[in-house]
Amino acid sequence: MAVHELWTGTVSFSLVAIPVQLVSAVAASRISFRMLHAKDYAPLSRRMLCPVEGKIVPLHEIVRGFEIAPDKYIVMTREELESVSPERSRAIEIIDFIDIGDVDPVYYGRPYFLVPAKGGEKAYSLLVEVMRETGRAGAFVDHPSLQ
Amino acid sequence: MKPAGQALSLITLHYSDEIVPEEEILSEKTGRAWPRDTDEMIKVIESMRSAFKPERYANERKEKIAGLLGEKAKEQMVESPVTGEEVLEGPGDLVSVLQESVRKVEAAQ
Repeated sequence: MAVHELWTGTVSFSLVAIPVQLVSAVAASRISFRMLHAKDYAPLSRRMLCPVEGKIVPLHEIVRGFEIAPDKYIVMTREELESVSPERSRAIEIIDFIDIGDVDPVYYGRPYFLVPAKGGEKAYSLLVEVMRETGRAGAFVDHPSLQ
Repeated sequence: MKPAGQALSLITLHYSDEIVPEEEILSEKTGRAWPRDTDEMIKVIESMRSAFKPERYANERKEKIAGLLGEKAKEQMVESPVTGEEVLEGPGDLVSVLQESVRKVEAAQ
């Protein structure tokens, strides 16, 4: 099963900073199919079509619009969306340690593993051991690598 | 499936062959913890202990986008030609947040 490193940085809280790597805990194992042209088995591709002009729209002419009412949109530029995106942080900053039993599974999202990066092995083991012993889980907010 | 208040919640699980085995991600990487370090770490963690309050962990990016949409909603709205075609994407799940944001802007004026 292939393990893909998604991000490298630190887990930090108080004065502690532990170098880690983030990997997905779930590997794609579901069977997927390609759409083919039944006549010649050519793999099909998707194109964006303008229904007014009846033409395929090139990528550089596509903008994002938020539909606020039927046929009425607010257009957002790439720059505007980037301006509200958090910077790609080098740290997962834990703000609270909570009791894991208090979190209803309905709040769970995607599962990942954090593995120790070079130099972080001892501190990583210590954190795992203490969290297991105390039943605590680290809580943090909105890391861009996890979106 | 489990009770959630007066309702039933249903949460999907992954199949076992979809989960990356622990031995594949850890290998020989972990070290040993010493008792004195353990005591210190427990103190730090206990000093940051808090009850889980879901509302404390807000999606800041979503709130910022909703705020930006609220600012642009009055003056920078465009109208698309009526085509009778079905659009690819419907209104996003930000609608309620946006409406709330617009109400706040109007209330402040």
